[in-house]
This record gives sequence, structure tokens and C-alpha cells, in this order.
Amino acid sequence: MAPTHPPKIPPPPAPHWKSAKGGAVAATPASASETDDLFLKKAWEIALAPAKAIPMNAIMMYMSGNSLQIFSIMMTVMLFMNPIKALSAVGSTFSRYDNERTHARLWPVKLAFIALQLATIALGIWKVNGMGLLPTTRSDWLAWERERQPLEYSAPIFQGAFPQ
Amino acid sequence: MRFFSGVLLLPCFVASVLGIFKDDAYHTDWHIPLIGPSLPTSTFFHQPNQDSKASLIYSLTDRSILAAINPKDGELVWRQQLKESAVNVARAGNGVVVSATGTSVSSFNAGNGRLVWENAFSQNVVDLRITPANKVAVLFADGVVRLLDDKSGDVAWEWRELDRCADDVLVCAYGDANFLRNSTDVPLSLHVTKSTLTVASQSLKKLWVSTIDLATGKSTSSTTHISTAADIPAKHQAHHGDELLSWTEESGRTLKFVALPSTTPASVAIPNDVVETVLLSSKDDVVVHFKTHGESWAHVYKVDAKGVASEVYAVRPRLGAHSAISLNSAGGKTYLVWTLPNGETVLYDVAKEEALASYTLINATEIDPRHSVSEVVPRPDGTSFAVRTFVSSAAPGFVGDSYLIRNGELAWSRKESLVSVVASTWIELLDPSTEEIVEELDAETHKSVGAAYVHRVTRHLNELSLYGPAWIQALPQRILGGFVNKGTEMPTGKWRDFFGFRKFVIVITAEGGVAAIDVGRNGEVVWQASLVNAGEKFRGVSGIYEVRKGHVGIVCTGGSYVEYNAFDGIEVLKQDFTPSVLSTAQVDTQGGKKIIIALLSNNKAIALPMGVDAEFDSVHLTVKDSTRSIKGIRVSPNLISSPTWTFVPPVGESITTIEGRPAHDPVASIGRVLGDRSVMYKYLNQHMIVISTVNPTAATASIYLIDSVSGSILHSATHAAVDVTQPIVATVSENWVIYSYFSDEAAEGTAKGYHLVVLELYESEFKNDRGSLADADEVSSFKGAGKPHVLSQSYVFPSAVKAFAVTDTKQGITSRDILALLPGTQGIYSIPKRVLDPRRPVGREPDAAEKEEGLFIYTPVIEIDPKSIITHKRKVMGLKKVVTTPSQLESTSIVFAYGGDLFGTRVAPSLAFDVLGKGFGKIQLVATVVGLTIASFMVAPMVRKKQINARWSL
Repeated sequence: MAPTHPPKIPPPPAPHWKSAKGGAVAATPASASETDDLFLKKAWEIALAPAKAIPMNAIMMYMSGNSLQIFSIMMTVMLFMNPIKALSAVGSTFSRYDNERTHARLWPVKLAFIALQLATIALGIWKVNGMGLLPTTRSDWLAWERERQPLEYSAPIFQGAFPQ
Repeated sequence: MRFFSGVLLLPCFVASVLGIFKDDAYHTDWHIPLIGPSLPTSTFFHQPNQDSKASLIYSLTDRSILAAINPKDGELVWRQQLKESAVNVARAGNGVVVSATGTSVSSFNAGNGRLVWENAFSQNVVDLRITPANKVAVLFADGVVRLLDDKSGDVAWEWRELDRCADDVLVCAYGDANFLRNSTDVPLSLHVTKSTLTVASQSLKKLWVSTIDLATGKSTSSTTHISTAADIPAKHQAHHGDELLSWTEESGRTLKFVALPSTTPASVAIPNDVVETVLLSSKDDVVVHFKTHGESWAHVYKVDAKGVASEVYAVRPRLGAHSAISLNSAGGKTYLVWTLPNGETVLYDVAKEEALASYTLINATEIDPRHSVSEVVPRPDGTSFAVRTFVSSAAPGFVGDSYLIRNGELAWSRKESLVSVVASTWIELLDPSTEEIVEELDAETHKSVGAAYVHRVTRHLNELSLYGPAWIQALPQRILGGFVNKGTEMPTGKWRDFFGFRKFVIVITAEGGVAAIDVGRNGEVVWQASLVNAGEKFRGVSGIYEVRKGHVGIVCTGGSYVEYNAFDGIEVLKQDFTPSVLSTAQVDTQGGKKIIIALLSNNKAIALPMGVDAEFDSVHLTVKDSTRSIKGIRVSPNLISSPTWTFVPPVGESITTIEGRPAHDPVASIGRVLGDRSVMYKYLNQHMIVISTVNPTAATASIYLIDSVSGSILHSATHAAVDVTQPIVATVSENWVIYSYFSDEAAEGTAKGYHLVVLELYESEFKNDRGSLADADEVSSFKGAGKPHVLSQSYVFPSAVKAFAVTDTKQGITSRDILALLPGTQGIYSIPKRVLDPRRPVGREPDAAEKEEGLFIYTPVIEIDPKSIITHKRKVMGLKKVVTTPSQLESTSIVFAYGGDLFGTRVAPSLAFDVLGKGFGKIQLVATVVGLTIASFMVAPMVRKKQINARWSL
């Protein structure tokens, strides 16, 4: 029942916002190769960040058990959502460090990032399998199996009248 | 807006509030207690105790049930099931009703039906009388007369002189082992006068009477013969008079009666066309009632002080084969009440020829009286009377229905004839929501997509204009009705209710009557018809099937096929054929219709109804030939029957039961999922039948599972030390078989008691394996379908089981309950199938995987839990068979039991998971929704204000 149109609010008085980049500009300009090295270093940091999360995720998945409860389901969903989001935005994640010089050198970084995201997804799949949600057993396909059709036809004998 | 749509949706929830929970007891189930056809000499009006003004009707029936009926409303005050026997006698004593069935005599408190005493003897009882001192005189089949004490039932004296005296030639000596007995001596009846007892017996084709002094038990005079060349059918004993002895002579053409203690008989000639003669007496008034096939009349006699009878008058003949006369004394006068076939009652004074009163029955048609008892009370004005007559009828097909006619008005009736129901079939009722548009729906399926769409939209628009306004008008009432929870009324006529709880069951009585019982409306009889004409004997039913929507087809053993409209009982078709029928089966034709294949006694097969073109594939039937052989018969499409196999059990065994899978036995899953998510594939063979045999000499019982197409034995088991006199009953469904037997002597490793054995059949003993046929889509019984892997387990059950039934639901998804019909008045007990599971771990707790599978530790004894008795507190009597059918709700199965009483209920083996229970808090739910809506409307501005303030404060 949230209002669809916010009420009209008068413009705020003179801003007192601090500049976001305010303190970061007073530095000597580095050379291009130094900048590229810095870029790559930064990119590696970003790429390896998921690796730090994997052990924690694994512990959490292990602890939350295999029962189907809202908590474990939500965690498992997050385990898939985040890597997929990250994978769909690989280009934009590293675009800041991407220029003509670093472009080729960024490939291993990107691959490492993708591999780690896939590892997280693999963790999720392991978890889902543990929860029994993957159709890997015979019983999962039982509903598609059919009763054998008999070639002969026998009619049930009339059993209404009990012996007199 | 959403709020309002929520309110509009409410009725949808409310409408579905109905279900099967414990508080449904006495709401969803019904019970019609029946006692059976009353016996003419053992039915009477009687005051429960001396100082009570009102009297009850006491009746002993041919089912050996002694009952007290309230004459006001026809309700049973009490009833007692006595030992079933061919000889049943009941007499009224002071404050008690004494009855004899078989060899035992019991006395019941007339007011509450409690047993006062019971005394069992070695011989069958022939006759029983109450003496003026309220003692019980009993005549036994060996000619012994015993006087039993009224308080304790102990023998006061014994009289054993019948054999010694009845024949002058033979002398018998009692008291030692080698006594000589005249075997032609047949005791017939016992008569009580003030101080003496008279025993009538037949010996050397003569009728003899012996008189015994009541006080001492000694003969007062020597035995005399009072007749020559007597035929003496037992039914010519006096009805209500203790002092009258009657018999027929000359092959039934002369009726003689003698008013004891006189020995001079009066003689009445019986006209040639008379088929039934009934003699009634009350003190010194005697009435002889003659019935021919077309009319009936009566002669009234008066016996004078010397014992000489003279005719007073004759009652004019009236049309109608069946009529009943009863005598009743009141205020020093004796009244004769004559009930005519159309229910008309004529009242006479036995002293006067003119009728005192005549009452025409308005509210009933033919009642076909067989015998009656009446109670006449003259009103103070002297000219009008209060007459009530209890009539037992003999309509063709329905023998024993009882009526109470009170001054020409049918006060109540009891359908006692339905006690003899032998067969039944279920009839689906029509769905009111689709029945009217069935043609239109059919048209839509045959049109192209576009045309069908246009057709549907126009149909919906038409329906909206047709039903819409009425629906909206009825809306407030429906919402209100949902809250007051008064329960939905079952529809009438041929319409089913929304959940399909209302179904008809068409039953057939042993006498050839057909009745439609509305299981949804407490067992109301909707219509009835007769398969026999008056006077014909019914030879039994060989098949009753729902042949198409709303039609029931009945195959009579005698050689006829009758089809009725199942909704109104109108006979649609009747075909006669010869010779008689051995067995029948219902077969699907290629056109999706159903026909009946009947195997005749000359081994030919015919398709019923005759003359209908029906193409069907060849069908295999199973016929029980004798107790030593079962035959498999193949009927080819051109109706040529040829035997395919014969099953003969090992020497000494005789076949007791054959059971097959029910016609409707849906299987939701073809495998059983184990705890580790592997699958055990069920062995699902539609041809599987179970045969049980007993070997009386070796005291063994065997079970054979047979493929009814190929005749191959799939599995067999033999149990030692079985009491073969107790019934062995079995049932089959899906991939399992359950049977019960009584294990007698404790043989090696068995327990004495009733055993329930479950067999579960799987395609292979290995998991995830479909056996030798592997992925094959088709299976032929002839091409080595392989033997099943059988798991079995045995349980001890505290009670005998008379019959089994398995709950049946629409899709078979709901778990099954096994309904075990227990003997006596114990009712129907439901055992969940998961209790009878051969995979339950024995001697250890189940492990995690087994727990996940729902298994629990094996306990050898299944205790009877009173909560699982689906007849709960009701005392059901004489039930012989239980049948089940699905309702429209997957959770619910409809149950009907017959064979004595009639009982119907609904069961939900997995609880009512698809309907809301009665305890569902509709009011709380609506109140919560309304409360939350109001609260959110109130809180919304406050939250908005707070959010704005929060922004500004930053």
C-alpha cells in the first residue's frame, strides 16, 4: 500500500555535501606502466575476492543442513544469484582497468574471476544435490516410467454375490 | 481494490469447508439396523412389564435376531443376535421374552433386552411355552420336556416318557447306555393349559398327545392318539393360542384342530385351490384363514365348554393373494383384524358377522401382508377403536418388510427385506455443472481451434446472462451460509454433490428384489423393483454392473438380463435366454462401451445385451468349477469360449476363495521409493488372482497367486496348523495381497491366534531393476513375464475377519486402508496399509533411510485401536461384505457394507488433505484480513510522515 507518487517536497537548502573524490586528487601523476601495474594489481584483487568467500560459504552451507527450510533455501539461492550476476557483468567489472595496454594482460585475471565464480556455483550445485534437488537418482524419473501394458485382457470375475 | 477482490474471493474458500474428521462421526456415516423377516409365531405385542401401559412389538426373525420395536416410530428399543439356527422360537413371559434358537434357551428382560439367563442343552429345541406361573416349558428334539425356572433357567423337572409311551410295542429303558429308542417318534409341539402341559408327537404316522402335570412333571394320563393318517406340517401349530393343536390330514385337504384338554377334533375341509391355510386362536375363538392365488377368506369358530367347535360365521372372500389376519382380545371381547393386500384393515368382533370398522390406507400402495399381529383398544364410546397392526409383508423380491398400520394410516415401515442383500454395484450420479452442457462441450472438441474458441466465448456469455444475476443474488446467502456452518444439503434426484459423496448403490436381495440405496442421503431407498413375479423363486444373481451412464444391468442366474434406469428404476430392457449362467464379466468394447460376457452352463458364451454389435478383444475369464478345480476360459471376439488352463490343488486341498484385483484399482506410482532414493519396482499384474485352499486332514491352508491368463503359479505359500473351519479371507490390490487365517495348535514357530499375512510383489529383488523384461513397454502373460519377488510378513490380529475391503480413491495417490469386517457387533476396522508392510525392520529400530521411507519397527501384534473402528460406537449386526468406491475428492473413499444391517460412511486414509476441516477458523481468517487491512490504512499516513521527516533530518 505504498504511495505511488511521492508528495512534492521543496528543494533542500544549500548543500553541505562533501566531495566524494575530494581527498584523493593530490598525488603525483604516475607513469603509464606504473598505472597499468597498479590497475592489474587492483584487478587481481577483485578477481580473487570470491575465493575468500568460498570457504565461508562452504562452512555456512555445511552448517545449514540439507533440510528444505526457508533459511537454507535462501542461502542456496544467493549462492547461485551472486555468481550469475557477477558473471553477466564481467566486462563492466574490469572496464575501469581496461585500456589498450592492459587489455591482453587482463585475460588471465578475467578467467580467474570466472573460474572462481564457477567454483561458487559448483558449491551451490553440491549443496542442491545434498538437498536432494538434483534429479540424479532413479526415483526422480519414476514418474516418467510407465506401467507395462498387458497384451492380453482379463476381466475381473463377478464377486458381488457371496457364497450362499 | 485488492481488499474487495479478496472479499469477493471468500465464498470460494467457504464453499469448500467440508471434510472427514473425527467430529464427523454420526454426520458422514449412517446405519440402518435391520432384524430380518419376522417369524409368524414368534412376533407379538407384549407389555415389557406388568404395570406398563404401553406395549412393544417383540419379534424373533429368521436371522435369529430377537428385537423389541417401539410401535410408535418403528425404532428398535433393543435387539439381540442369537445363535443362528433353523429353529427359532420366542414367547412372551411376565417381564421377560424367552427365546430358543438351536440348543439354547435364553431369557431376556423385556424392557431393556438384557440377558436374564441362558441355558444350553444337547438337543435342539422344538417348542417352548411359558406356563401361567411364568416358568418355561421346553420340548426338545429327543422328546424330553424340561421345565425351567423363571429366575435362573435351571431345570425344575424333566419328563422323558415320550418315547416309552408313544409306541406300545417298544419299551425303552433310560439311564443306561444301551437304551432303545423309537426313531419314528417326532415331537411336534407343546401346549399349556392351566395346570397341565400337552406334548404332541408323531409316531407311526399318527398324532399322539401326552399330558404332563405342570407341578410335578409326571404324566397324568397315558398317551393317546387323536388322529389317523396325519400329515402334520409343523407350521399348523397354533399361532397365539396355547390351548389349540391343529394338523392337516389327507394330504393337506382336511384341517383338524382340537381345543385342549379336549381330544375331540373339529374338522374343516380345505378347498382345492387353497395354497396356504393359517389357523389362529385366542382362548376359545378359532379362526381359519384360507388363501388362494387370487383371494382369501376366513372362517370363525367358537369352542364350547366341552371342547366342541362350531362355526360362528365366515368372512366374505376378498381379492388379493396376500392378506393377514390377527386376533386380539381386549375388554373381554376378541377382535379379528384383517389386513388386505392394499393395506385396507377390516375389524370384526368374532361374535358378530358385521364388520365393526374398516380403514382404507391412503399413504401406501401394495403392502402384500404375509402375517400380522394387532392390538385393538375399544374407545370409551364403544363404537370406535384404536387398532394397530404390525404387518410383515411378502412382496415379490422383498420378503419381510414390516409396516405398522394405525387406524388405516401407515405409521412407519421398516425395510427388513434388505437384510438379505447379496450383491451390489455402484452408480455414478450426474454432475449438475457439466451435464447440461455435455453436448456443447462435445461440439467444442470436434471443431477447429478458432471455431471452438468462438463457440466457448459465446457459450460463456450466454451462461453469464443466464445464471449470472441469480448467482450474484445468492452470493450474500452463500457467504453467510459458509459462516454459520450448517453443512451443505445433499442434492436429490440424479444429481451428485460437488465432492461426489452422493452415489447410488444398487443392491439385489436373495429373493430377487432390486433396490437403489442413496449412500449420500443416509441410505434412503430411492426406488425398488423386482426381478421375479409373484410366486416365482429367484435363482440368484450372476452379475450386476453399471453398463453405461445411469444404467444398471443385472444378469440373473436363471437366464435373464434386465437393464434398469439407475435413477428412477424404470426397466429399460429385459432379455431371456437359456440355459443358466455360470459366470459373468464386464468387458470394454473397442468403441469405448461396456458389454457383459456371460458364460452359460453349456460352456457357451454370450454378449449381453444381446443383439448389440460390439467389437471386443478376446478376454480371459476365471470360473470356479468345483472345490477341486478352477478353469481359465478365453472368450474370443466371435464369442467362442475355449478353456485355457485348469488349476487343481494338491490332493486333499479344497478351494475356498478366489479374489482378483478390483475393476477400479488405479496405481499412482509403479515403484516404491526407498530411503536412498532408489526404486523397488512393483509387480503390477492385472491378471493376478489369489486362490486360497484348505486341507482339512493335514490342517493346512495354502495361498496360490495365479496369472489368470496363462494359469501359471506366481507364488504359493502353505501354513501349517490352521483351523480350517474358520474362514480364510483374502484381498488383492496393486502389488499386494492380504489374507487372514486362524492358526490353531501352536506349531513350530507360530502363534495361536488369527494371523494377518501380507505379501508384497516386486519385479525384482534388486533396487532400480525392472526384472527380466527391463524396459519393455508391453508384457504378455504367455511370454515369460517372470516370477515376482515376494516379500511377506505375518501379524497376529486379535479378532477373526469376515471380509476384507480396500479403500479406493480416484487416482490411487492416497494411501490405502484395509477395511476388515469383524464378526459380531464389532464393526469395521481400518488398518493402514503402511502398518501391514513387509519391509518393517524386525528386531531393531529403523535406520535413517528406513525412517525416511516411513518404516517403523515390526511389532507382531496389531492391537485394535477403538479410534480406527469406522463404525465407531454403532452396533452393526450381520454384515457380510464391504464395498468401496472413490469420491470426486482424491482423499476420500466411500464405503458401504451389507449382508445384514446396512452401513455407509466415508473414509480418508491420508486424512482429508484436499478439503478444509470443520474446525477451520473462517471467522478468525476473515477477521485477520479485515483487521490487517484497516490497520494498514491507518498506519500508512503515519509511515509516510515518518519517512519524510527522516529525509529532512539528514
